Amino acid sequence: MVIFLVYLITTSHGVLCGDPGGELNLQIQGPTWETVLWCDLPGGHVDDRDGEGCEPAVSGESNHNTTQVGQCHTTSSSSLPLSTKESHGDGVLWLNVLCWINVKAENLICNLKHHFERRNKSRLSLHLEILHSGSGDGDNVTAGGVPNPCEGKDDITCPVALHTTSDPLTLIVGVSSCFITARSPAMYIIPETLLQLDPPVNLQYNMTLEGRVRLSWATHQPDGALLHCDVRSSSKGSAQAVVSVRGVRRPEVDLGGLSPGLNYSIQVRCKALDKFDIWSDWSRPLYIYLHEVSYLPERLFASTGSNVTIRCIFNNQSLNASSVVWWLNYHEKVPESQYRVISDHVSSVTLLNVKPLRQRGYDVLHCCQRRGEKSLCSYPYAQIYITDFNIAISCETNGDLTYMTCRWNASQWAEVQFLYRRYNLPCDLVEEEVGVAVTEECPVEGRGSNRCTLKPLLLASCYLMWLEVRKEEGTLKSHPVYMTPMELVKPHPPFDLEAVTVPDGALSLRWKRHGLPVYDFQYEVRYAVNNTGTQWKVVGSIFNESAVVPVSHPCAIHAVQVRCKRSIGPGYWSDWSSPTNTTVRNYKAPEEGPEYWRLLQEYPEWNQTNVTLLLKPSQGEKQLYCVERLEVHHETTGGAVWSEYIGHVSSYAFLWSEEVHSVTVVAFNNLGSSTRNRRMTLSRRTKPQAVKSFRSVMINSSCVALSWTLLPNTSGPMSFVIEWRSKGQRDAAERVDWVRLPPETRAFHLHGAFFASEEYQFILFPIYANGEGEPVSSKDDRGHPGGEQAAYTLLMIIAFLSVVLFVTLTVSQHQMKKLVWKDVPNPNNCSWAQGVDFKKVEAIENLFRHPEWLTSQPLLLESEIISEAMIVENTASPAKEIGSIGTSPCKGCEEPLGPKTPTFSRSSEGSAQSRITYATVLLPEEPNILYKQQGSLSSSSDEGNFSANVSDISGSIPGGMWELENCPRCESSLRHSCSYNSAEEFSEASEQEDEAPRRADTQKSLCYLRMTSQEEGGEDQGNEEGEDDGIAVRFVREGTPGPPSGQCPELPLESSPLLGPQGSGWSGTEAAVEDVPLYMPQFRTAPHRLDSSKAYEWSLQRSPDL
Amino acid sequence: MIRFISILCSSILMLLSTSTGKPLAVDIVKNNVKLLAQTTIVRIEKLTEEFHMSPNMVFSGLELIPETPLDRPIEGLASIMENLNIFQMILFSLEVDGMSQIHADLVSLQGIIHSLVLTFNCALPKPGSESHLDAFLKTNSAFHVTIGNVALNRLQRFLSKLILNLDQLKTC
Repeated sequence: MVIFLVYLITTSHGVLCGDPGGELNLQIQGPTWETVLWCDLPGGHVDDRDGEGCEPAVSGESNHNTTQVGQCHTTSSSSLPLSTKESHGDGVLWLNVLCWINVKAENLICNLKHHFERRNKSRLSLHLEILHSGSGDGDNVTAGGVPNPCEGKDDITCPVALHTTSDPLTLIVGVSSCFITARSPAMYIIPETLLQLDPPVNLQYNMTLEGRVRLSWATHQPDGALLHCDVRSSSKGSAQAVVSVRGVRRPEVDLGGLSPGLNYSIQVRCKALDKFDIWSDWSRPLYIYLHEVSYLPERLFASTGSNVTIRCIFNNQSLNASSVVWWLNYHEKVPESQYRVISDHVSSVTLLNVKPLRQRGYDVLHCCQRRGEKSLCSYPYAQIYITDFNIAISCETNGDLTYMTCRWNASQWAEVQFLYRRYNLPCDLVEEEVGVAVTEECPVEGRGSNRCTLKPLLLASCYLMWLEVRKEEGTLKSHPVYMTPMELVKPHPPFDLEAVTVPDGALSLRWKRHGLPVYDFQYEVRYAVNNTGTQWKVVGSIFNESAVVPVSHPCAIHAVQVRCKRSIGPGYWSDWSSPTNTTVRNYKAPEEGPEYWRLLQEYPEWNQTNVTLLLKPSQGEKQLYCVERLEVHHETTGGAVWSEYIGHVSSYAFLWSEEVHSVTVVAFNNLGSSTRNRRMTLSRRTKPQAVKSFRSVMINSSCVALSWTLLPNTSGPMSFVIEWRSKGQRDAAERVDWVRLPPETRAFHLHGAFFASEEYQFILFPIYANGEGEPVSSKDDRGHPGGEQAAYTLLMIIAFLSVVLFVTLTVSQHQMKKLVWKDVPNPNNCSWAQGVDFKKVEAIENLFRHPEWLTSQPLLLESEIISEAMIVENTASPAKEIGSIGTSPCKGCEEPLGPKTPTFSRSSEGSAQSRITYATVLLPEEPNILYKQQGSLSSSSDEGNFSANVSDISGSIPGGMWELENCPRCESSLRHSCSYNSAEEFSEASEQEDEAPRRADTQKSLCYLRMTSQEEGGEDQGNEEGEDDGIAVRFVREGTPGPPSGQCPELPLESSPLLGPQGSGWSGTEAAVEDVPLYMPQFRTAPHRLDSSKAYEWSLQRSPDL
Repeated sequence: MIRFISILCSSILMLLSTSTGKPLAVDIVKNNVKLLAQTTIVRIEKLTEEFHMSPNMVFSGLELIPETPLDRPIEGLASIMENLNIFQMILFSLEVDGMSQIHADLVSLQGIIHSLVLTFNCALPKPGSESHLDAFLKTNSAFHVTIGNVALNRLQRFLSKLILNLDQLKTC
């Protein structure tokens, strides 16, 4: 009860009293004063006393003499009457007194009312006196305190004007009921204590963009009231600092001078500025700890691919923002181009196209100080969250359909919650019904576990699931997924798997399925031969609980497994069942024992032989039985007989020490043993000779032909065994092969892999009933195939040498040609050219036609015809060519020597930028002969010397050979007297001169001269076939048929008086003038272009033969 | 005479203690320590893979997390126990999913080291006052990613050194 009373007393602050007198402005300004009184009214019931005609006392003073007087007491446990400690029974009245000062601090207001709600209106009368007390004698009603009675029933509120806030006021409460009154002792109130403000609350701080710490708080003052506040801060080991803020309406202040690494206690007090200078108490402390670095914001939410900016503030003033290094996720340094210095201690960074790890959902950013290559960092960091992070969720329902396990691949650094909603609807309808179900959190299976289990399940209901990251700044949600447990069932694997193979190659399987889930299954079977690793063969699309699968090794034991999955509709494959080994079902016992042969390894010192039996699988009647094991029966000359099970092996070894040792290998399966078994007798006695000859021939790498003959008058063996091995592998038993042949065999083609690099030995063993005959060996004969191969090789070598010889001859011919023409003299130095005016046609004609010239010069021998002039014209008019082409050059060469003018010059248009205007050949006592040449390249002299360049090359190529390059599609069949100079020679002789026409347009005319020996004609002709076909200067003769398109016509040889019968020749698009090397051309080029047709006509007119 | 007998008895006991079974047991325990430490190292490597820390980042303010000097061997079993205790406190307080198993490994490792302490008759280290560490971890729980990452790196180095030095460790 006492506790209850104390509780009632202390619940006072912030309560607004009822306002019977609204005009008094009863709003509470600050703290309140209150107390609870209990009054002992002697002699009766305070509520139900009958008192008709009883007038309540007007005042306590007036009733003193006429009524009974009781006493009121302030509440305390000791003073409470025993009768009222447990109840508020008869004769005790409880009253509440509450006083406060109004907002304008003009009045003290007190309220008096019954402490408990009264059910009936009583006849009690309450009165309250508030008296101004003089200082020092507060017990008396002073003169300054005019009695201020305030009366009423049940609940009264009494104001009194305040004259001063420091002097106490006296408060007396009285209660009366008919003739009973009670009066409280005097109570004192100091008004200024009620003017004090409540201390500020909700202190908090934040960091401004400029890096300042801003403190804010809240007060109970109405908005707009001016306040004066003090802020004090203290830390351990430092003096207290107080900051005063005057006249603020918004309660906040920037705190400066806070050092990082210290715990600061911050408190605030305030007072109103209007009338009274009364401070509130200090607020509750706010503790501030500044790290060396702060981030704005500390957590940032952004979408993937966006650009974000984060500031870092160095609270340590010794750190500078200009030496900042930003690190992302502890290992990625942000480029400095993305930094920005805001102030001395504030830096910002902009991250472009942020892509935090989706499984983690955030990036970590550190702002550090550069210290050489190192970065000094503080452990606080900023985090960048992506709002569209996504983590895959997968669920699986167990085979009993009792729970569903969901997993997600979140990073272990992520802080996610797995949430879900369950709808009792199919997932197709859920999207329209969003918001109905309650969000629940799945119980995660331990810290760090990325899975949870939902149990029990609504199999056909839809589960909406997602992951969430909750932070103060916001919440991230992954993309939700919809799951229906029935569609996610991973059934139990089938069980009781039975697998049987039959010898005809079938694997028969049978298994059982679990009852749940009840829908139909499809199955997959996989099998593999035991002990062969994991070479599984899988057979699928099985819809029954049995299957027959073909196998290639039905007699081998297989490991078999089966699994299942929903046949129609979504679901998972079950695990594979535990492996089961197959059993073989034989139809009968083996009929025949295995084939085998022996390898012998002698130990003479011990008189023993190690015998290794090489066993082959049974070849007969595969379809009916399998051999499961073998048994070897031994029998020796001493009469010893024993048997030995050897399992199902491919080789078996034993020691042979007796003179005769017989073995028989018997095959077994579950139905019995073989009846026809081969017996082998090993004997140390002399072996009969039966084979006369034995020959082997290797046909190819896969076949060897074997043949043998037997000695006459020998008993026929029961069989033959041929054993073969590669040479050098004699000791390696595993490399020995053998085959058994029937007794009538005399020739055999052995198939296998025979390598040409190895030599094989074949041994023929005749086998008799009582042992082996004398073996005969043979090496493989590879004579024929080897001989053929050698012949082919020899043929290839001969062909190669022929080619080499041909090339060598060709090259040597060229070299010889160069040597021959190297000594041709410089025409500038020729005396005969002095004074010859080549501009004059007569001079040239005379030069070549003078009969004395022929006689005055020695006859040119065939071997001396070493020069030839060729002028080639590009795209010469076919019509003109048709009318001008004459006989073949070879034919012309056979013409008798006559006074012909062999030199024609013409070049096509645009073959070069300049042209050779003339050439002068000066002959003593002979008229000058002028050859006017069009274009730039075409020119010829009687000796056939030629310049095919824009420059004067005559002087630079003394005695050299020139050719007109790029003769198109020219085929000259000049032989004997029809000779050419090769283009190569020309190039070698005048490289510089050759450059210009090469640079010229290939469509332009290009002419060249060539000089060669008579024998080279054919060869050069061939060489020129491959050259550029853009050349077009032609020398033609009337009456000759034109060439077919694309071919060069053969022209008659143009003989010169200077030349012999093999003087010169023209062929097709090229012309050649053979001449002695005594006459060298004189050239001059000029930047002038003549019409090629005119030049052509001119040339024809000047030709004496035309 | 009594002194002689006491010396003889103590010598016999010493010989027995050094020659019968004890070295073998110590070797087994040390081997278990190595296996568990290596296992923990692998777990740490896996956990810190996505937050691989550049060697150029040097953190300040984390002096309460033990750091093993590269050039100084581990001092003794008491030091090992103390460090393990601090590390397991740190890992326990941090809200990182993957640390729970590493914390369990450390607790297990503490148990094995404790058996070594008993085997060598070493005095158990007095439980130090970790109030600073506790307060630090509570105050800075918002920065558990960096604190955890640094702690794991230092723990990894400590365990590596423990594996290297364990065979030479003969003192308390």
